[in-house]
Amino acid sequence: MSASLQVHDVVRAFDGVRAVDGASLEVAPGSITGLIGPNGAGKSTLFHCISGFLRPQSGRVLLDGKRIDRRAPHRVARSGLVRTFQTPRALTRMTVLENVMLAAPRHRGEQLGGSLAPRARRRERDVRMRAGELLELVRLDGHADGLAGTLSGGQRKLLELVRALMAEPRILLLDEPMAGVSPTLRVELLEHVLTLRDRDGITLLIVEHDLDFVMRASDRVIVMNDGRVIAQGSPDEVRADERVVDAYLGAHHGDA
Amino acid sequence: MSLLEVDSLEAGYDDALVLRGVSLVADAHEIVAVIGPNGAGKSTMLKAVYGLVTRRAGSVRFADEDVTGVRADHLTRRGLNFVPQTENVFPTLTLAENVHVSALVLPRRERPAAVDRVRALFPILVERSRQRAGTLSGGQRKLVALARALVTQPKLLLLDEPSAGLSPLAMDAVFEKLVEINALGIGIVMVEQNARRALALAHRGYVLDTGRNAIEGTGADLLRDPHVAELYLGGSGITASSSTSTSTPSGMNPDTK
Repeated sequence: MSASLQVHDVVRAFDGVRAVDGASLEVAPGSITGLIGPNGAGKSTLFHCISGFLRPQSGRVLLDGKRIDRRAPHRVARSGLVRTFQTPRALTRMTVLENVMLAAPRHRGEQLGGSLAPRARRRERDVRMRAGELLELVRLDGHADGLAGTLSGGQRKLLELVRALMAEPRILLLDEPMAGVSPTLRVELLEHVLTLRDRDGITLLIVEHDLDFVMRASDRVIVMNDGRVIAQGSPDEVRADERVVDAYLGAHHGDA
Repeated sequence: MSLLEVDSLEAGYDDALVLRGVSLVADAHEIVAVIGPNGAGKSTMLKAVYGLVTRRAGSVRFADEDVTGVRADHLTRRGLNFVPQTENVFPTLTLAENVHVSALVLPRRERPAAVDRVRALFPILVERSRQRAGTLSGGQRKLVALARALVTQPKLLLLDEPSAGLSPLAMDAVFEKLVEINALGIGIVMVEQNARRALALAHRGYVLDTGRNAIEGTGADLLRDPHVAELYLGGSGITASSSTSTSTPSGMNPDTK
């Protein structure tokens, strides 16, 4: 059930500037892969290319061996690849719970006025229950009935994560999930992320600058710079790599 | 009398009261860090002080004047400026234009000197003066946002998560710049989620929780306080082990400067 992801030689330029310049990487099923690199290295652009929000100008993206780089974002999501955004997108005039429930995958027949059917009601009950559980996980359960617009920046970030999980992904791409999240909650989220891999078999690809999180969570770390992959390996190998220290970590961070 | 005195401030959005009585002081020679859980009211506090969120109760004094309810642009002219977490530069304007727009709050004859001063402090403004701000990396944008605030000749800066979304190297550059700015006699009040890093840099810190003051002290004392570590710094978890990767580079603590 776990999904694998392969990216082959993807190129994407804006106004002649190659934001992603021939990036290739592989994510093994059921693993956590950390993607790090300086601001402007092309990490988010690559995420857009993988999730269908941008079309690569060349190269291929394969989910379980099938090409997805020509598919629209909603079709990519339906294939089981779900992503979050750096800047959360919530429906501010709906409640937090409604935001989460809307992210549940549509099942056949739901649109056809079938909401009175017992099956649909059961389904809604299940969705509501699952939404409640997930909100509890990130400590937003107390805000379930409040408008999403009243959440703080960090809380919206957590709502975004819950919405992604609600979509029942097989592979989840997280774009800076820890930015704006308090240190205490970061520790808890690390545990939850490991659980997603170990219990739910979800494959994860995570862009994140919180290195402690990346090094603790990741089975494998991939480093990008100037639109390309410049290094990859175990967290320890990457930390010791001179190119990574130079391009990203800075001298005083390398000697961990 | 401190430069900034916030007393029992209450504020919120629509029918949600976020700030339930927060008090805080800051002086020109200080870096003050404000930390706390998500939704504690940290950003709302900054916005309420700067007149971007309607105050329900409480008062704000700045430079010995009551500025409660004073508009943001007037506060900027009086020497109090704010750098939002995002959308803090004009992406379609060049770096030179970005700084020029900010300088418009100054009297015309003071503008050239003010612009020269920030250009000396931020080499990027010289190197890339004709580049559009929207094409900068995240870390570079943060520096330009700081430069835009500084050109208004502030006595005190309010910063909302200056390190959010930055790589370790870029984060170092921003924090180093903050120490440099503070050394010019400009006070800094910053909200940060990289709490250990912020406290290591700050002279004093405040912990906010559920819209109220929880704990305050010197940065060093708060870092040492096991209660603070357990409740607000992630205990012995991720950030606690981060002395190597998120610690302050040597010589960056303003106390040792």
